[in-house]
Amino acid sequence: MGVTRRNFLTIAASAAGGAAFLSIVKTLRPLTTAEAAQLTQAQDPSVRKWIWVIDLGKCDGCRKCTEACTVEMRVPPAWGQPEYEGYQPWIQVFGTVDSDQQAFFMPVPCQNCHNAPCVKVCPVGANYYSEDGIVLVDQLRCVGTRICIGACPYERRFFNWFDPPVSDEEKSIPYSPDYNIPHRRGVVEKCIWCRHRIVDGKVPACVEACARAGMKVLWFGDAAQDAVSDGQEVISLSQMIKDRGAYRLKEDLGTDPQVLYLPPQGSTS
Amino acid sequence: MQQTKDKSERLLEPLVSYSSGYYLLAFSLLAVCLWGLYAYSIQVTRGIGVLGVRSEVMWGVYITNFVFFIGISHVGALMSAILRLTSADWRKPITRLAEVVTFASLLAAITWPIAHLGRPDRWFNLLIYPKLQSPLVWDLLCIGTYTIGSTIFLYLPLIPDIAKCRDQLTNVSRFRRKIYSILSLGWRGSEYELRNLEKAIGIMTILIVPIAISVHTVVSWDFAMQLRTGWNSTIFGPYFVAGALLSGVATVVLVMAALTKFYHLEDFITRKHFDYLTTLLLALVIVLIYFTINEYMVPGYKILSQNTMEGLWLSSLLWGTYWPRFWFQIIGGLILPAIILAVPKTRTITGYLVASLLIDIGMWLERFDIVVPSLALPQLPYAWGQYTPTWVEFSTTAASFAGFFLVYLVFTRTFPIISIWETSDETKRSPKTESIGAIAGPSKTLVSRIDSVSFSRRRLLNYGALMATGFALGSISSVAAQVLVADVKNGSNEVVVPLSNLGQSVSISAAVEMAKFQLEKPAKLPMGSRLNDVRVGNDGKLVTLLYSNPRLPIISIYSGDVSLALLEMADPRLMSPPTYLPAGFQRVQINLNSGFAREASHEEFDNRNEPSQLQWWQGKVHFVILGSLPIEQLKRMAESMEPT
Repeated sequence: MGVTRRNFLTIAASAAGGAAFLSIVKTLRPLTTAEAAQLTQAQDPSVRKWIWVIDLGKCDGCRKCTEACTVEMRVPPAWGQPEYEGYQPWIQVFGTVDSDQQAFFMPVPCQNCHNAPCVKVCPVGANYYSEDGIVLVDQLRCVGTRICIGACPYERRFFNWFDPPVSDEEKSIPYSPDYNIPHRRGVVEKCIWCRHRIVDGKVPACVEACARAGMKVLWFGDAAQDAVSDGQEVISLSQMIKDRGAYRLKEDLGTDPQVLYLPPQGSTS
Repeated sequence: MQQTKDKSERLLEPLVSYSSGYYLLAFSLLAVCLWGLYAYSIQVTRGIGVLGVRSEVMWGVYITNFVFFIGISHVGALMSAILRLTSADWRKPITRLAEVVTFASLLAAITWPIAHLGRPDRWFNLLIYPKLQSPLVWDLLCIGTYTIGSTIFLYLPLIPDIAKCRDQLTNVSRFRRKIYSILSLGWRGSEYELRNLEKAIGIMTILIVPIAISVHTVVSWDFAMQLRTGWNSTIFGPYFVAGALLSGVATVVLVMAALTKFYHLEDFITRKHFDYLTTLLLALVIVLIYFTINEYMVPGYKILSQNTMEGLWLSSLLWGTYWPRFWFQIIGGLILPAIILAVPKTRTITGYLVASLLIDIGMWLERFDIVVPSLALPQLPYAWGQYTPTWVEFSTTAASFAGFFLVYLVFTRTFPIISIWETSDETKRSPKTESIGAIAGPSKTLVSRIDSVSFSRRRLLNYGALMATGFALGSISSVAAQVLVADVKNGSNEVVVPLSNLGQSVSISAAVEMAKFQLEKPAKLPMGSRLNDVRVGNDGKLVTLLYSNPRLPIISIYSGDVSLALLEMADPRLMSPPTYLPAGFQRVQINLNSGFAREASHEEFDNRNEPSQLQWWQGKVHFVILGSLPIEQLKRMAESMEPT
């Protein structure tokens, strides 16, 4: 049988299909020892497990944390949303009431879920976990579909609808997802737990501002070391949870958020 | 045979004789498209903020259009694949016109996901870094496959007709002859070619059905895969597919009527086709009503009676902010068309067109109501998101619809819109003229001529009355739903200033003692003001300072000669101005604190003078100043607050 055009095409297509199939099979094979070692390294106990504790009983709603955040991260404006008072509230303080109609304040930063819906839905993988588990956004890759804003059950994602104002000083800062400055248009922004500060052993800017105002509402720390700090003193995380009892926002969704709230315990005054 | 030849010549006629009306229509559609492009260029240069979408409602009209056009595109697969598989031969003259609807609407649909990107310059990231976990990438794969597949499906049965154009249209431009000659792939019409063509079409018929169903299922997953109240639904896939088929068939009915009227296709598209298609439409409307009942009844029964997110979402649809649109969509877009299509008396061409138009409008609104209210719903205890489309959204949407019609128009003027070889084949080969298709038509089988596609005034009035009844029913349903689930509180943002129950009169020093907060009073009062009365009420949570001033008019809502009133409340319900301000109010800034104000006005209704008012929040305290002064002056007083 001679090689007709039809035969040639059939053979070529099967060859291409076979190659594609083999390449898929390759990814399904068991891990090599080196690869397995690389994976287990990620679960090394020396890797930090950042955690945030927020004491609702102490918050008086002064919003110093939001101000400090706006300054530290040079937060872009919230265009056309007067209720946000000028800037995107990366850490937002809500005034709310509990079931007994007692008013209390609730600061809400990014919950930094370990099963984050925003990371799942991103079509280009611009949302990712850093090796110490912080959800970051690569703003050079983000295409601005905004599906992560819809997926976030805590409304902690913001969008740069126009060109954010960028000073010359900011332009000289090299971009890194750890310190997402300078800000740019058409991409998603979020609180990144001041990753540029915490890797240097400092607490996030809002935590520092809260302690400086004498409130001691925000505590940041490392669950692996069982310690949280407000930048001035360090206390035991497990003791704090044992004393007060903690809850997480929308636990039922299974997002595994890393922010613990200590209940307001009745009166705030 | 002679008759067949005449027929095919009549089908080729729109391809050669262009009227001036055609050029006028084509150029006006083109103008709308260009205007949309201009609007889009504004969006690209200034930023996507020129749209009405904002942080909470971050998807709006663009995504609605996307879902709507993808929905319409489903009709091609239904007509050519499902009806072919069930050997419903009556579909033959209308298969192609449905496939062109698919083609044009897919072109319109795939522009939206790109247009809505914040960074359209980076769209290729979707191809270089696709993340298979994301529903948007599934979208890309499915819609890409479907676009290619349905274009092939449109093209394959077109080949013999293009060959006919190549052979018969000798006096068209050289360019068009070239196109016909390339696209006809050297078709000669031999038995061998015909057999292979049938085989290829057969394969595509089987392939296109799962692809089409996957497309709209995946589009529904864009929503259903997110942790949003209102989108958390397992029936979204079939619900969207059913809606897609419904809006697609409705569009084909409209297009079919327009083509029959303007291209004089009465010999090919007969009353029978309208009757059969609308029977199908009726079945689909009923399916969608069934899905809608499931979608809203199940969460409604379980959750509505508690003050949950689902309760908030459902009450906003059933009797809250969105009720007019929601009930129009239910009554006008589903129930009314079902009645029109089911009652023998309204099964006329006019009735079909009214029902189809209502269904299409209803389906667009249905998609809008799926996208927007769920996003506007507050995820945390805060204000509802707002969304008002801007002129950019309206312009690009108009351009998209114009583009859809333009593609359709140009297609019908370039290729025969009714398959010549398939329809003549039918007359040649089969003696059975009537279909034994899966869908039985109405009993009067004989091919009657289409009755005139025109509206008489009386009929229009009748339909108007019917629609008014629909709206009335909608309002009644809204109220009835409210009554049935009376224990749900409507999550309203209205600020209620308790003017009654002012409490008892005390001295100012006693008021400072009794108040549950730091009492303050303005330092800059208008000349001649005197603190007349201090009242403490509501357990010390409300303190009212009443001033008299002989130079200012009296505020009529207080007894006595009160000209200025300052209310201070420890009110935990609101910490800042509500998102929705009533008409006449404006936002103001008091020393970094936000508030809102309204100028004095005269109420014609009960001949009463409303004083100016200014409300703001300072920490946990809510302040209200009432007085017959301009806002600017009230603002100066507000800015000069100091502890008593």
